Amino acid sequence: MIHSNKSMPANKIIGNVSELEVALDNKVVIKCDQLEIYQNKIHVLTGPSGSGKSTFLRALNRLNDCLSNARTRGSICLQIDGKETSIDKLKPTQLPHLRRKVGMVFQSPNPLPVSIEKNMLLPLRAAYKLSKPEEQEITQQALQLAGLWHEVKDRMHLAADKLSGGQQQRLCLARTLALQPEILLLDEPTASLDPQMTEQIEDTILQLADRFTIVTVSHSLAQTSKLADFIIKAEDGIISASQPT
Amino acid sequence: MTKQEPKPSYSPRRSCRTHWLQVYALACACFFTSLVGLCLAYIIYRGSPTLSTSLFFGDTAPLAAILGRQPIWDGIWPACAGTLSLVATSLALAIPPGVAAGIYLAEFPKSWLSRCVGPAIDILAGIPSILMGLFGFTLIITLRSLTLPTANTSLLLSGLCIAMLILPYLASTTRTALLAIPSQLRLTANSLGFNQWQAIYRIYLPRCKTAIISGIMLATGRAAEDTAVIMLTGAVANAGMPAGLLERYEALPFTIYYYSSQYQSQQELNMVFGAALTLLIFTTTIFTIAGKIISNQHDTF
Repeated sequence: MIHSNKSMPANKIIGNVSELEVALDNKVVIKCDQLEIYQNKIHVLTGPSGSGKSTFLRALNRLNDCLSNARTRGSICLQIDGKETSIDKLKPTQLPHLRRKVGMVFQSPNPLPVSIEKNMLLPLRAAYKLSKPEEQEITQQALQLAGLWHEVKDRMHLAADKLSGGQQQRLCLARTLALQPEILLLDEPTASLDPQMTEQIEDTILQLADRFTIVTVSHSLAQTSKLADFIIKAEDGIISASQPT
Repeated sequence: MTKQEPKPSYSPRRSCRTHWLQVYALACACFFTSLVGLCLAYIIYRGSPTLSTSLFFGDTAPLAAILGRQPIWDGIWPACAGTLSLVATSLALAIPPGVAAGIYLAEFPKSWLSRCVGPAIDILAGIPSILMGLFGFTLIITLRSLTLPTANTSLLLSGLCIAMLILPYLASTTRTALLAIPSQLRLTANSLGFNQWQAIYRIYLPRCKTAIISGIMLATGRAAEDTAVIMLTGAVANAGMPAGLLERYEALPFTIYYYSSQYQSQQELNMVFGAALTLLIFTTTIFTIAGKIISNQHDTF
């Protein structure tokens, strides 16, 4: 059920950001003149803290709209459901669909305060009308993709916050994957994890690139060189174009 | 506290002041606790000897009385049943609009309607209950003279006025609970593609369940004890068991008021204390249940 792309030509552009400007409290915090996003590639966004990496990520699925003090200008074009979509022109009612298609995983794990199963099913049921077996199948596939299925399959009714940090983060990843995204935004997904967990998540990300286009934030040089197909540098709010590694 | 601060020059004086404040606070706490204790002890002392089937059902057989086969004279059971029906009616009328208004105020705080409804609810919360009773009374008089000459004070009218009295509790507890939802959870809900109503219905409201239930319990207590509204809108001293929404009824607080102000025998006065103790047990039970619900639910859903 999970979306997959096969045998695409190399470096197909599926996203285009131009003249983007995001202001928080009327102060411009990020600017991006021109930037391309390539299909099924891992784009690693690097730069010092406070350089606007998370804000840029949130601009891509218009999550900045949820912050009352944020104003966004410029255009972002992403290919969603096979169609060029100007996401800056979407109506508020279209945003939930955008956010499912451009899924996001946050820096610190943010499971909903319910069971593991409900964490998977609540967003899924809000998004799609599915039968019980379909729900089960998607849940299982997503948890397998995130490498969590074998650890939780016998305790799906456990409260999600009882899992370890790394497991919670993979649950959040699985929850996002279950919504059938096309682009994944990962905001320092390994920031709060120990080295072993970090490696697991990195391997998962590498595998996911076969199916999804990924934009991830990373602080570590080692992680950047391990994951990146393209590097996007952020410095003092200036987001530069994607550079192939 | 102040002992650890490296400024000994003023710390002794401050600790002295702190000491007096502590003594004063302790004295006040003891005073209020003993006041409540005294009040409760007196009601229990006077009320408990009267607790018996004859207090509730008079000379009627209890089963026949509960099933409504025989009328009850000199018993407070009709008043108990009346209070229960009144609470149920007013909650049924107040919960849907109260909770919905709370949701609207919390989720759309910037709309012009919210800016009007917010203060309106605060004002409603400040209206003395006797005015609410007068409002109901005037409403019936107006209805009678205009369209419905048969309109009369009734359980429904009392329920409506009490509903207006408790609506602010429900709206403001719902609103406060929703506003306390962490912004991180809201961001999470948005990032997972919930639209606003899905997020409210599936995530925020279940999370606020505890707070909303405690608001309902508070409102129940308020609805059960109010006398001023019901004495103007339908409660009477002798109506028997509540017969319907459009009939008059008896209620515990009104029975207490009525008999304590014009009792004619020691037996009637004893009945007042029995009724007071019954009402006290009823409201205490409600608040205990509310406390249990709150302590069992934590913040999960």
